[in-house]
Amino acid sequence: MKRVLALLALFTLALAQSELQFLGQLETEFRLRYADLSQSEPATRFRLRLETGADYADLSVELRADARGVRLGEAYAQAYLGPVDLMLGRILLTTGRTDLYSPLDAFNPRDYSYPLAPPEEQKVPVEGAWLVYYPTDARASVELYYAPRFVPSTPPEGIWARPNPLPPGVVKVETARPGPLLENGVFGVRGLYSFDVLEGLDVNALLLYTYTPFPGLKALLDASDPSRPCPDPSTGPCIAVLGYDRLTLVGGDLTFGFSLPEIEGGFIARIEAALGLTGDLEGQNPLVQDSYFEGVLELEHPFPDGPTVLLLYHGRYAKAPGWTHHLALSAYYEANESLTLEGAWVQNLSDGSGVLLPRVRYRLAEGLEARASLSFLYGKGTSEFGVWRDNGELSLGLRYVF
Amino acid sequence: MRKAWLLLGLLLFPAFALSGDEVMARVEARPTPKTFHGVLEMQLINKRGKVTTRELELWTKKEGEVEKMLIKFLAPPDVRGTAFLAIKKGEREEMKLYLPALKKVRRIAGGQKKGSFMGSDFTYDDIARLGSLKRENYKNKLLKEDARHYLVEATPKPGVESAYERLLIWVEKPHFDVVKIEFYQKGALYKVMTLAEIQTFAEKYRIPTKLTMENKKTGHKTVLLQKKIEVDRPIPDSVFSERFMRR
Repeated sequence: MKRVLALLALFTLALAQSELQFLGQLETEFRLRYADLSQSEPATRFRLRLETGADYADLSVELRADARGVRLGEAYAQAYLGPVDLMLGRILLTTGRTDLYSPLDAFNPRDYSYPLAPPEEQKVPVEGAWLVYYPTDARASVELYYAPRFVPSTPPEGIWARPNPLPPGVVKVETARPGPLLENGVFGVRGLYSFDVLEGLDVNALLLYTYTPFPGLKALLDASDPSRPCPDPSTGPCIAVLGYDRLTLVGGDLTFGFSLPEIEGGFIARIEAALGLTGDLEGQNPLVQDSYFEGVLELEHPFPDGPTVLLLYHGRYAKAPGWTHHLALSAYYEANESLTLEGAWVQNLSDGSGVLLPRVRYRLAEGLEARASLSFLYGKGTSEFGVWRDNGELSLGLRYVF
Repeated sequence: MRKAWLLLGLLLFPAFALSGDEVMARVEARPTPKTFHGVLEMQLINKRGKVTTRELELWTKKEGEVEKMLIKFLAPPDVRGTAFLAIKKGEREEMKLYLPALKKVRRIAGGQKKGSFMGSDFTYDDIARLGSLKRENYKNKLLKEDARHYLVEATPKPGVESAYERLLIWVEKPHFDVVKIEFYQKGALYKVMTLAEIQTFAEKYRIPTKLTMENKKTGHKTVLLQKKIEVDRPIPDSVFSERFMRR
């Protein structure tokens, strides 16, 4: 944090001649749960961003304040050095193309404490560097990523926490994180090319050397002498030591536009697939999380004078639990400059659970927007979304951007 | 005597001096800048008169049959940083949108050309052409001529993709400036665009600095005011790229 601030201070001095801009966002939200009509405390979030820039560099520092306190959000300096762009600081990147599910978008950790938050708001900035090289061909680029410190994702919390009872015999859980060593960093490389065929074709390939976002079991130790393995894991008392596994993410995505003669409006297809390779390719070692395959097929169609609709299939395979399939449908309709209607439906085809999320946004005045949304979650109590079936809620909020 | 009758005839029936296609050819033959850079104020006015203002920066470049356009939103803060790129090569067109909240450049389907451009009464296609019409795509018929204007009816030729089935175009003499276009859809008047406050730039380019598009069905109106206009200043190709969209 101090290093980031020092670096940004240096850049601020360098850009002192440039114009400073303050941008802010104040958001307050109130939620009412249908099951027991319990109300949440009004949640208020404030973001203040300072931006300045010149032809050769930009600086952006964002402060975030909410019930958890005040903290640094995105805070980076970006330099434009001929064919190279370099960004340093606390950064947020997007390394995939599909929506809702994006197997390749794994550089930044996620905050799932409130799992119904929009995906882009769940991303957490991390300290790191992003370098992009643009060869003379404007259609190509090569990106390099580096984050010196691995930051894990935050699982759902409070009423959204998934039931995760301790195994018999385990009395304590400890989680080990990779230390701040050079070799423990997150590295990545991505190549992008836009082909001048069909109605445009974008192709990307990514290699990301990271960690599993959530920890898995690494050891069971004797609670009375943690230097020894637990003598009887079924009765204990044991300490479960959790840890993160190295993950090599290899994959690619492609996006292309096309038209069908009978259908007005055209289509955009997005395909994204990734292999997540851990140290256990065969799924034999219970102390290493399983390797997996994940893929998304997405089709977007704008209806003339109507909504833009997106249909998505997501599939994931790991040795346990095998295949998981999702189908999602989302729609977005800007009725006029004031009223926007949105909706998303996600169905887990493997366990029958799902979630439906309609939302209305209304622009009250310049920068001031009212929002209302509903969430319906259904399925068996042990299923992916059914576990939250009592958490369906009405959410009302106001957002002011200045 | 015969010469006098001929002169009288020419004075009385000048409308038939040019056909509709010839009028539009004269419109198209006017010099247009190879590059254009400007800041535009977009006013969205609803039927109750409530005005919402947006400010955007526009770059365009034309090289042979390749037309490139980039738009960046400067204000208000909730749309600031949004960028729209369109590259047209003959009949093929690529369109991309950068949404800063998602940090993603999204390819847009060709059909969205006919959709509203950022909540305005202009479609993406209207913005991409900003009033210029491809003469060869239309059957142009001269309906009327008076001392100040030609009135041309343009109907898309079979096979030409168009959001509108008929256009009525008012062309002002003597510079062949398009000053008004009525857009018809399903047999009814749909939108009216007026191109006003035409100024001459670089001593040869006649550019309207106030464009108004009114939707006759909803009563909604969008006014585009062109400010800080620069023409024919070199714009590097790198401006029309995903890299520049993100900056």
